[in-house]
Amino acid sequence: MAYVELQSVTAGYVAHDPVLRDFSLRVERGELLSLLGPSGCGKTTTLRTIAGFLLAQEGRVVVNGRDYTRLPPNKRNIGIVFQTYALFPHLSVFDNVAYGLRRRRVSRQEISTRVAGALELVSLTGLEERLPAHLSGGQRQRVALARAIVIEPDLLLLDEPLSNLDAKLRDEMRGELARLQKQLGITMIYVTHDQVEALSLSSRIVVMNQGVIEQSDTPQAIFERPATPFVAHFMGFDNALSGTCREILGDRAVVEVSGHRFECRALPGGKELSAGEAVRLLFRPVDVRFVGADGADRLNTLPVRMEFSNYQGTSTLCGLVSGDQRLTAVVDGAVPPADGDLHVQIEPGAILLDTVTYESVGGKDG
Amino acid sequence: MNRLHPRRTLALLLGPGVVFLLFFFAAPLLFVLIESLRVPDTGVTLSRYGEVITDDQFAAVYLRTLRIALIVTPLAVLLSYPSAYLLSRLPHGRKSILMSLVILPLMTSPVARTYAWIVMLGRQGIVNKTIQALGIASEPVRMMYTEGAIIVGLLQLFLPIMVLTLVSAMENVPEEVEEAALSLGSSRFDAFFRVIVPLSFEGLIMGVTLVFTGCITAYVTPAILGGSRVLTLSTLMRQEALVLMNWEAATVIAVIMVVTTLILYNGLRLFRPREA
Amino acid sequence: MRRPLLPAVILALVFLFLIGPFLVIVVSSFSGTASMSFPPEGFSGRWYAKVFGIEMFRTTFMVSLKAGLAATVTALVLGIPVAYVITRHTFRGKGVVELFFASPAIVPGLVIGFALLRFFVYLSGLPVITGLYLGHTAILFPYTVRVVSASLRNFDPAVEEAAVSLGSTRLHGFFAVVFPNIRSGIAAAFILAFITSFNNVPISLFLTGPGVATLPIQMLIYMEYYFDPTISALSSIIIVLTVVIVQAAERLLGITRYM
Repeated sequence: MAYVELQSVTAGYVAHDPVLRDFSLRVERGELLSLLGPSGCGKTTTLRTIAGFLLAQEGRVVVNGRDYTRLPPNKRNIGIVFQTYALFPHLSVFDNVAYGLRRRRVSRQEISTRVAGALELVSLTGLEERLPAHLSGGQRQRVALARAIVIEPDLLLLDEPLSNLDAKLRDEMRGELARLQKQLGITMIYVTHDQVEALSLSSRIVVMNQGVIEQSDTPQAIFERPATPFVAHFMGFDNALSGTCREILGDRAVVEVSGHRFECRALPGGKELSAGEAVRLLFRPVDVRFVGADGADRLNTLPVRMEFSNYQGTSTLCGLVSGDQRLTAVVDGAVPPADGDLHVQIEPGAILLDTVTYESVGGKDG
Repeated sequence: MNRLHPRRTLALLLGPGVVFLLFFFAAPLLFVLIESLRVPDTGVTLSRYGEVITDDQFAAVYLRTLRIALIVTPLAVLLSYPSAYLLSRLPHGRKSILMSLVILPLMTSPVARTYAWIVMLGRQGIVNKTIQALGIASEPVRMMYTEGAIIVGLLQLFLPIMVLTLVSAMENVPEEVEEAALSLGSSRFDAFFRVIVPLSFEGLIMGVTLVFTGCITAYVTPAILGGSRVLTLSTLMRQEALVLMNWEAATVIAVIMVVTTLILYNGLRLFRPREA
Repeated sequence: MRRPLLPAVILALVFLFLIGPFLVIVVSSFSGTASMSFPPEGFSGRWYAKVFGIEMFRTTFMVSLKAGLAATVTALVLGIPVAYVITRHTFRGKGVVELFFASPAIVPGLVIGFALLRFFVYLSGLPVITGLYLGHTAILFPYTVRVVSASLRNFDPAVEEAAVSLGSTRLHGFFAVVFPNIRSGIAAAFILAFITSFNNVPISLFLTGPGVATLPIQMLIYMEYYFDPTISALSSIIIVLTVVIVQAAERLLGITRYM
């Protein structure tokens, strides 16, 4: 049995319209699992069900072999870092961090050692007597973290903990979280809608959409081989070219787009595909490369016309048109001259195949 | 923005209201205060206050008024805290409906509201009928014109004020803070006292101030439910002024009433937590 | 998460305590006899007929209505500019001004009424109804200023500045841009102030004279002489009207926010 298990859980805020239906999730000990998805996808509902703020209407919640399904939140020994930090405004930093230890009737002496240790861990030593109102955003975040880990929780839940910080602090805290996780070895479930955050932190990512798991895999697999159009879209496969499948060569498919031949990986998950079927090619703007006019007859190329280009410092964003289809490219440095024939090439490995019918059933990214 | 409005404009906007209140509020009060200190032929003196304060009846009434306030206020706190907690956590629609019911005693004519208690507490009233039916008493118990009746009437009047103040204080306590306490091992009961109560303490002090001073100055409730048998400061003052035509005594009582409320007002402010 | 039981029980009892007496009085107003026992014996509507038959109730109702409307309008017209200055400006002594306009609600009404009585005796020749109007206006200021201030605080001052930048004068900007957006606040202030005046006893007690009384004062006088369900019937009418007004005001304006 996994360390944390949600077994066929139905949960939500109104009885007749649950957010999660027959939802199952397994988290192994020591994992840092990210629940990734847009707002309303059910990631926070999952978190609140594990925390015990929402009771599962059906199914079971098991942590470390104990049935948590009906256990009130205060008996669960789960640390939570809230999006708004939810610090106790009337208590000093020390008392905030000591709160959970006092509830556990830890001796005074041990409390002061453990609080000091936790504050040192998040580099807040010296601020014990401050009230939360007198801390910066980053410091509040650290107090929230110290408060949650000092109780040595069986599980640490983080609900978009970095979303209220500015970009620079966010990077810093991300590094710190990764360090803490390694140092303490706590099992963490991390809720976020930011794919960069999820990719850089997690040992595993679960992408959710409308209460359903779209894909559960390592960050690399999620990034490179999205299993569904939804995940692909979420992971930045912003370009879609329509075409027709011509033939299947083992694990490769040949697709014709406006009379041009494209090779790419066949459908993920071993789904059936037949010649003549309408498909879409999904790929990222960064995977679009400009090739010279001589490259016109090379594999996977397409003649395009430049509609606009936006210089963005380290890169340039190009709006391209090919026939009646549009695509965008992000290229490093200089952009080829806009006049004359332009050709772009997309590596077979960068393309994701998506059947149109499949999209209309499984894709909910609209 | 201030530059767009010269001082003259500010004076023009504030002027009419200020003048009105100076004339028809501040001046009469000042006049009464001066009159209470002035005795013909002797000049300014506190002798009138001495006369009133040393009067046995006044002392009894003053103490009774304080006693009533001291009973009503904690009762209001005890009943309001859990009620306000639940109300503050309701979704907006249901909260709005219940709150508009809570304020009903505040909005209804005090005469109509208090008259209802005559019907409730009279010899033939519903309370007497009930306790007789339950065998608690064989004879009707006299409840009208007692301190108890005044306490019940004032409690109905001031519970809504306490509830309103506490609800708005608790609405400012994010639910997540409470959840944080639960996740750290507090039971709901424990979290209520460790988190909700301290964070709504300022509202509590505000509510206590309003209810306590309100009890001391309320008129209609003690007038109807206490009558001339059980006098409070306000009904005593009215009796002196309009029945006995002893304006000097009424004036002194009025000033004592104001001074008492001001002392309470400022005294209770000391309990307000300092700004974080 | 399960909701705890004890607070719910207390809340139910509180509601019973707050609302129950009103239900009892409405039931007793339909009594078939003149006795005030509960439950009432028999059923009749004659106490309602009696209420409308007593001329003093009709005339004092009109006095309450007129004095209340006049006082409310005056306190609003003079109070809105005050609320505007308080919410849009910082100046020395602002705290004092705010306290000054709140103080009629802090000083006991009975004291204000008594002080006005003694004061008006010196202005002899002042008609009783005028004194009543002035006294009521004074005690309504805290309500109009506070409620209008609250709704002005919720309205972004930048919108008004936009109007001025587009060529409005400040005065025109107020009526064209601010006023339409704080209408519900003003309506809430009007309702709260009028109800406060209509229900007032402590001020009216001293500022009514022979022949001129307000409805609550007349009810108190009647109660001293008669003990029958007439006042129950009249109270029931007032209670029902209050419920209707409060519910409508809550639904349309969210009046509990301003209290």
